[in-house]
Amino acid sequence: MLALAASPDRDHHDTGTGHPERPERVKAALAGIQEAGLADAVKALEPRPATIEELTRAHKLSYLEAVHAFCESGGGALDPDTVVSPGSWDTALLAAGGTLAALEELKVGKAELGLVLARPPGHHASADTAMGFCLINNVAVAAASLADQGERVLILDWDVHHGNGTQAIFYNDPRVLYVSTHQAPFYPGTGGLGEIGGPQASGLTVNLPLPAGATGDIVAKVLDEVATPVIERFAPTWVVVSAGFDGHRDDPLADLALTAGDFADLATRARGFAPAPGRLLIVLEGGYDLNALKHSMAATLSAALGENYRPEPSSSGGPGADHIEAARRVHAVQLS
Amino acid sequence: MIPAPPKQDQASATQASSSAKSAAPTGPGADLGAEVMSATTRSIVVGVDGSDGAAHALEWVATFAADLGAQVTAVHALGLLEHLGQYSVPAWSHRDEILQLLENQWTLPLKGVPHRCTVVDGNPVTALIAAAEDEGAELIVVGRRGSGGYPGLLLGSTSEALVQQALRPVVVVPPREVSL
Repeated sequence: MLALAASPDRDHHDTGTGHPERPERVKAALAGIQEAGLADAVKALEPRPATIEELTRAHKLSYLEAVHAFCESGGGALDPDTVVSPGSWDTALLAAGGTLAALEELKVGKAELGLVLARPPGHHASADTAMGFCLINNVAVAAASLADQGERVLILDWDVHHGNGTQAIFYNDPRVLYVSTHQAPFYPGTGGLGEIGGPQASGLTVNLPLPAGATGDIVAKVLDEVATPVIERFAPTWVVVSAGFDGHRDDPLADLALTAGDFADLATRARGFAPAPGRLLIVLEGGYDLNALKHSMAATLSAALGENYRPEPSSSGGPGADHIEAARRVHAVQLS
Repeated sequence: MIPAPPKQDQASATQASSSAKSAAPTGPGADLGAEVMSATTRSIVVGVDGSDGAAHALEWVATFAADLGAQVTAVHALGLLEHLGQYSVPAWSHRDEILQLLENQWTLPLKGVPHRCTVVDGNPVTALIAAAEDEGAELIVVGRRGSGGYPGLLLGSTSEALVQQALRPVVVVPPREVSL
């Protein structure tokens, strides 16, 4: 069973004409569920907004109040990329609340997999800064909730951009392991190999920067050879995926060369990292080509449920072998 | 508190900056600007995004940097949306294209003033603060857009966020239409 939190009918986050982060993205992701033949496996959750208490596990109260006030005043551009409207705040609360609703469903054993089709996305939002289309860090709200319940949380971030906000929120938190594959050099300019965690969590930030043009075989290999040993040692009790699909070769915002099949391979690994069924939550981040998003979401969900729907084959042959070696050297030191 | 920019259009400002070493700062904010920037000022970081507001800020910088012998670092923060659509090149090579724009067009007001240009990924506030730290800059200068600002709100603009977060002096140059 797939526990689904999505609120397309209550999506009032208006980013304006031509902005790539648009409501149609959620509809494309929903179409992916149909495409994978998973419609009958879906249990749609009743959307609920996150509370301020739940949000302040990841964000400063003053920041939340400021964003809320900015939206209420009519909205505008928080930075050159991040545009909000009067309805953005309530929509963002539903996205963050959706992660918590999905966790609650998973915890009582009513589903094998949780999926949150979040708008706006979240992984660039830090405790006190909105940026990169993101207001509330949905994945961080979920992971912080789990950590406060004594869980050990792996956040696997395969969005093409580094999740600077998520990294910053948990940089010195030994309860959370953050693993990110991302294009580099690229927005937001963070995610270097040397960023490995704070004094209380050294080695629990694993950044795996990859060059433009990298294909699925490179992403899989760097996860297998560099991240997997760290994940196995950490032994997560939950896995939360920051699932961006802007690493797809057709995405207009970035230059990795992944296919839907590659996302299936990534989801298979995420399923393997989870200690048991019902301990895997997938949260939508980026992905701005609607067809690529639909196919990639279909392949991801199918693989995460142990099935095999691949509208595109996996890719191989791109650059990045030297990046794998560099990452291996950094994290071999950490493991030793 | 904020030095007003000189009253001049962009074309004449470019000419003025070319000969700024021999010219005293002019305009109603010049004296106040000189007070803000002591004679020991040697490094200025300025945010550039190709907008008219940024060009106006560069004109202000050019006037004082040339007179004080300061080195200017022009910083452009490359955001997510700049990788989209209107540019027909892959994002990874787009950085070079933007750098050329920065060097050859956006920083024309700095002609004759020692300066260098840099493109960094990310949020402009973070990028400018980091650049100022790297350069040991005495001053950060940004323009303020004529529209899109939300005075009084915490998160209304890059300039407001910069003023709140930077540990160095910040000059926010108003847009032309509200110049004194």
